[in-house]
Amino acid sequence: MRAHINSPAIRQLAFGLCVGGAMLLLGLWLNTVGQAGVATAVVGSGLLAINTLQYLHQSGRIYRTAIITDSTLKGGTR
Amino acid sequence: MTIDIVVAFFLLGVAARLLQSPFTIPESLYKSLTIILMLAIGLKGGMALSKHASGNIFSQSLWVVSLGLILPLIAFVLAFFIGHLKRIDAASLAAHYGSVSVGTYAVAVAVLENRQIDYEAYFPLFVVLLEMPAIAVGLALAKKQTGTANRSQVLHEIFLNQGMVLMTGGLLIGYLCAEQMGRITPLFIDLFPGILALFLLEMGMVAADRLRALKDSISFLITFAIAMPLVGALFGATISLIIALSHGGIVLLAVLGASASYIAVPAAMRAALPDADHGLSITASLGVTFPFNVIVGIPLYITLVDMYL
Repeated sequence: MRAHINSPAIRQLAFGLCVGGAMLLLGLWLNTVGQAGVATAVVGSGLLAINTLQYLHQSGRIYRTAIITDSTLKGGTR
Repeated sequence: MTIDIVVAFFLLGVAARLLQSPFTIPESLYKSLTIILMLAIGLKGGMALSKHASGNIFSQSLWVVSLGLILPLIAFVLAFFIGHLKRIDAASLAAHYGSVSVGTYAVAVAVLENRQIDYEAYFPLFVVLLEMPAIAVGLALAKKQTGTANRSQVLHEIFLNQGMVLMTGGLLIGYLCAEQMGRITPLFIDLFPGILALFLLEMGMVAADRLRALKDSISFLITFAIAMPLVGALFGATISLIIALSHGGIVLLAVLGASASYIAVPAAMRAALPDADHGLSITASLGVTFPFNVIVGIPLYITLVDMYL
């Protein structure tokens, strides 16, 4: 089933992409100004990846992900 | 890139667990280390308070308490409206993220002292103050009508949990007996970094166990557990600028805002909200937020404060 535009999955994807993207940009910017930003950028990239995978899984575009399953989602959310 | 020596112990603990080493730290030793750390933090703060006590600290304390009231509200909004968690779970999670982690604070202090960055020595007072408000806000958000017996149990947990008793007690002893502190300094002050290193070794192993549990969890929880420290650090730094803290003080209040409780609040929430999913909160705070703050967050906050102040 595809996620509706206002569904929790879309909101969570948007949240994940915002946080991950912001961290990736912050890390890259820190690197460009000569500070240690690799760890921040790596965390940001990781967030972008897991949120995208989770969304693709929830929306039925992919059926198996080795990283995340939605077993907790069923029990832990409204 | 230089890793702080106490953080290296945390990474050793994570590696030991991921490599499935049978090595463990005895439960009684871990409890002893926790007691010594909390007492040491309280004593140091009490000593500093005896030297610097003033009306200014009272007004600063009010601002710090406001941080403990704002953060759980933000955490609740994210968990309830974006994470779509059940109200009771979102409220419990919010209480964890509005409160503070003494372990994260201890790491931040060790890093600042290693880099010879000065901070307000009475900061343990703020740690104690930030323990409580989030629990009250969390319970209010849960809209849970607790019975009389349960309510007294909740109040007991809020005001008499291990962290509150030891840190408030240490603060008072340090304040009242500052001149005699030399007699107990070798254990509580001189050995502090070594005790913290052992504590972090155990925490690394616990965090690795929690990370494994996250394999079956949702991406929102991981994102939330990384976003909240950044939001908390931003609010902490903003408030520290308003109350004119020193360079190190700004970092420490940012770290306090960024940290999430994994000792005091879980105990209080278990008593107050027995139906909440406590595994969710402890996994987020201990499995994601604590390692994030120790490895990425604290150096990041120090870097940003260095760049802008």
